[in-house]
Amino acid sequence: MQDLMAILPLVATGAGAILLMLAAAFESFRKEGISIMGIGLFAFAFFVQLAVANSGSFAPYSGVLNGMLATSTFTKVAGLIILACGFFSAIAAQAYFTQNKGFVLEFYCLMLFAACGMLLLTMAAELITLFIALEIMSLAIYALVGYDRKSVRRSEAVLKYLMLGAFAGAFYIMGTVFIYAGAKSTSFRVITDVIATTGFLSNPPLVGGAFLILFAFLFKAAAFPFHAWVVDVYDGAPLPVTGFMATAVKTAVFAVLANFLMISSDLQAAWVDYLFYIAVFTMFAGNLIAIAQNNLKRMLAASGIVHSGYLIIALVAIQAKTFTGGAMLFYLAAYALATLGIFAALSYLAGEEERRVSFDDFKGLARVRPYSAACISIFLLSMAGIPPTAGFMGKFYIIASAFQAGHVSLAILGIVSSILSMWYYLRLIVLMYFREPEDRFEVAEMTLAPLGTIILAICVFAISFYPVVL
Amino acid sequence: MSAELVLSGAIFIGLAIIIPIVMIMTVMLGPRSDSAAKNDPYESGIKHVVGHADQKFSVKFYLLAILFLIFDIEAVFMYPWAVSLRELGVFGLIEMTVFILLLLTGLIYILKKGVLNWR
Amino acid sequence: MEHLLINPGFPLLSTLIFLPLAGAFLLLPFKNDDTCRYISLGVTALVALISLLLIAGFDTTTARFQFAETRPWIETLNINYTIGVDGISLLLVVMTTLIMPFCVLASWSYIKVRVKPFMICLLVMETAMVGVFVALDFVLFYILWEAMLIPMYLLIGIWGGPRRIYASVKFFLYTLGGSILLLVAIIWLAKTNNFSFFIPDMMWQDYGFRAQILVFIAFFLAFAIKVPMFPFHTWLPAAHVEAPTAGSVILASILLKMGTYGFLRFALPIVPDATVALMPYVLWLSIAGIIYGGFTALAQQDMKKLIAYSSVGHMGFVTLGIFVLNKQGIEGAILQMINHGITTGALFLCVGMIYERTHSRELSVSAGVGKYMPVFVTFLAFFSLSSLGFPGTNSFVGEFMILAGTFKYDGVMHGNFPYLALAAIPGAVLAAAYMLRLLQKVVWGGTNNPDQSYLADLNWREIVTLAPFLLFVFWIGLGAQPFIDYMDTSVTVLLDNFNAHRAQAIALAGELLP
Repeated sequence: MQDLMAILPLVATGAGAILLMLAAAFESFRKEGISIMGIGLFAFAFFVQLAVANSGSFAPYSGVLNGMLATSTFTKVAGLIILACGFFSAIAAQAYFTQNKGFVLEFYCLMLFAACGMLLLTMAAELITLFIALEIMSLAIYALVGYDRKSVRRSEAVLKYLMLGAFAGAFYIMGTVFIYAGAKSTSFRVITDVIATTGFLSNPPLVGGAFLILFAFLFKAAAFPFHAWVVDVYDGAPLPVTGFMATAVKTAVFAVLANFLMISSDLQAAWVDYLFYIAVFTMFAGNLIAIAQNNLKRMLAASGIVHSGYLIIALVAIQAKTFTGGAMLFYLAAYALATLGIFAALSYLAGEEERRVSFDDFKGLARVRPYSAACISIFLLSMAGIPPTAGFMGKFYIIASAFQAGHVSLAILGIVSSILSMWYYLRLIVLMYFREPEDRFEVAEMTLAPLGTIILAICVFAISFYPVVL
Repeated sequence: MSAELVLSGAIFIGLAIIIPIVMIMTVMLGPRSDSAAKNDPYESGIKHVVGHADQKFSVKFYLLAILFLIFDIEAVFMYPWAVSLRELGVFGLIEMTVFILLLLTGLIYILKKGVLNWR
Repeated sequence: MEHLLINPGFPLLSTLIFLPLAGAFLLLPFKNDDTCRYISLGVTALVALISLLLIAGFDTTTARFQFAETRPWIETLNINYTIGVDGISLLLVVMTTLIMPFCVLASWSYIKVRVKPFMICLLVMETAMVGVFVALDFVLFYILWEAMLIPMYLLIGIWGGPRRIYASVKFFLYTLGGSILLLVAIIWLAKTNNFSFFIPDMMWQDYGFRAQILVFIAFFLAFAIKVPMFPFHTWLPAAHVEAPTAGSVILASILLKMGTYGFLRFALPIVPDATVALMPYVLWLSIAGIIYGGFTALAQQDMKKLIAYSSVGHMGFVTLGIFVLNKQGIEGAILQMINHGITTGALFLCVGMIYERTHSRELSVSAGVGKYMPVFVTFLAFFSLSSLGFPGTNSFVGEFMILAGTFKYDGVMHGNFPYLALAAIPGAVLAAAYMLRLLQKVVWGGTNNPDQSYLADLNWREIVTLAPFLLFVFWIGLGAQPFIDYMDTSVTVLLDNFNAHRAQAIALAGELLP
């Protein structure tokens, strides 16, 4: 019964996805109806997850389904973030498709399937389950990126993503094989025991396997040597999907990365030095790419790389006793709020066929749509980490955790990188506020996205002052 | 060197002799027809195997193959369940029902989408 | 909690912080520009009146933090919402709240477009500024310190002059860049103190000399840029020139004080040994700022730039006063912070008024307006005299105390010859030179004055805006003792603790320490 309790959100999401799939098959709803259903199902799943998270009856890291899954406060909160991301992406999508063609009835169903995979991913405590979860998520996302076959940009994006994703998947499987060779099991718990008895570095198959698996995860997380795909793929995907990928996928991947590294402190300690450099290079590579962009979507994609860098800082410091898991989740939540907010705002501001996506297109927005501009500024400032937004608190926790773990230089480099990032975040604010408008910014009425944007903007402050996630 | 080993060895050797004989006899005794179409290289709906790489080809076969795979796997999963039916009891029955129902919804989706209509 | 005198009754300080913010939200539904102006005036005036209760209820016999409030905020990190005032911050808080209504008045006709967002920015600024002066939790302080940048950035960038984008971005990046290391220092300090972000907990601790130097450098970068001290001052003229009048006033009167307040509140008590070690460099930078600011101001044709560079010089006096580390110097510095707020704020208001009429800040355009605007030039004359430290005005008292402190310092440190004080004296002469030049030009001009017969003299609103500043110029100039009384205990205790800590450190480390 406890098992069932733990996977209840998963069941809710999956059942919702199937429901939507059938609804799409029978064409029993029109576009609007199915949008509302999609939003509603995400909200439902969110509240189920919330109820489960608050029931709080099981011990931390209790195994579920013969140890295939494990739940803890960490996974529950990650699940909450993922479902919230889905909810707001769905709202953004509803606005987006009132102005853009290319809607398919399966859109929300695919999003729910992706969310289902992500929830499974956060809970997976066994390498094969993890792989299945990873693929459920990835396949749904591939479809979401590229379902519009007629668009060349979408096709390019999905081809790049699919090819590189397949590589990452292959590396993952290879890593699993190695680990199985080293530990005679794919279960995290057994691997922990094996490392405790044989040691990590003295067990070559484990080292190789962990290396390959980290490789795959870092690809999904868009960390430094594997970050090149991000910009093109995010640019090619439809706006709400980009928002969903940037936030929910990142949350799921970092949750699973943390879970994997927490298998054993030996394992984490062996990679800590490399993670250190990856964090630094990820932050600076992302900044350099972002500075050069003229397209808002590409800039946000590149800034996503920078944020991955910060999250890797949290991974480096994950063994510190206090609040690192919390710090990471808080950062993810803060980042998700800001990114989703921008994508929600863009989804109704971008106009038909994503007309307005470059920086210059948003000149003078504050004169025409002051509330939208204010919200976007709040999101940008939050991403840049300016107090009193949630982004600042997120950076603060991460830097504090780096201090805890004794990585002062990493903390300082992180701060330097956040200064660099001001350059491109400020640019948009300058354009929105200090220039005269050339565009009338007419947008579709009767969408939920503006409301969602404002709610997110309020949340940016709310979780900054009441950090419930910690 | 037990008797089973000798026996299985004998079976394998027998097979190794009989199979080539059957194949050769098929060639010699069977009816044959020869035409240009028959001699074309052919693979899963791709009409022109030789040529440019970017030409379009029909996806119908792949779709069917993938769908077959899914329901094939379903059958494979049912086998171990059937073997340990009694040990798993009602719990196993419920799990299997859920599994089959999930695939059933998939099948319904495929049917409604008209994937199985050979156009 | 021996540092706090918890305020059991009405949460006075929280009201001061959150009332302006509530006012900003109150403005949101209104569309009429005049309504927005009246509401903001009402809110800021109410805050100013409430802040007078602080003065009335302040106990000058203790150095503890009064009207204190503390509430848990982020419990996992032991971050609390802790606020309180002592003698050092009291006058700054009250000055902030008192100046704000006049900023609203000064923007009454100056700001014609997007009035509502402007007023919202002003009110949010007030929340952050009051918060910075009363915050006793380092995270709270840092958050407000940085949060202040955003409304100021918008004030300059939206309502500013022609080069506003350059000025606002420079202001933003400069100040943000400066305070980034502050965050590292804060987290390091908190970590060393068992993750307590309570500021008094960090004071007078033994951090080791090397660490102190590093923390001091982090502090120094943040605060020196805000002051701004000599090599870090370049954002100031740009920001001042482009900002609207209210923005310039806030910048000059309040924002610049945060740097010097930071030195007093953090650098001295938290890293005293590093302060002593690096004191000579800071002092000579102050001197450089005084002389440099004076000479540069002398060469300006733009009135706002002139006053901006004079600010660099005046703030040099303030840092000089702080870092001579004796009672006269520090009390003079605090008083001079207030004086500079009053005088320079008023001067910026004057320039704003003339800019509204001539639409130019050039001295040559405004030359000889005395003929048509007698009331205006009367005000300008008094404020100019105050700025150059004329006896009987407020700045004279402040500068006198600072120079007295400097002489005393030299007497101890430099074999009885007052190099430092001697070096600072030309600053006072330069101040006279450039302020009198400004006054002479504006009042009389030359033989080829432009035609200014279209200029109207000040209206009642403008007179009401300037009169209180004049009142304080003479009040402090003629009777400074009540003001000094408010800070006296706090400064005495600060210096006592400082000397005790130094004595202990020297006893421990012997000759190792400077």
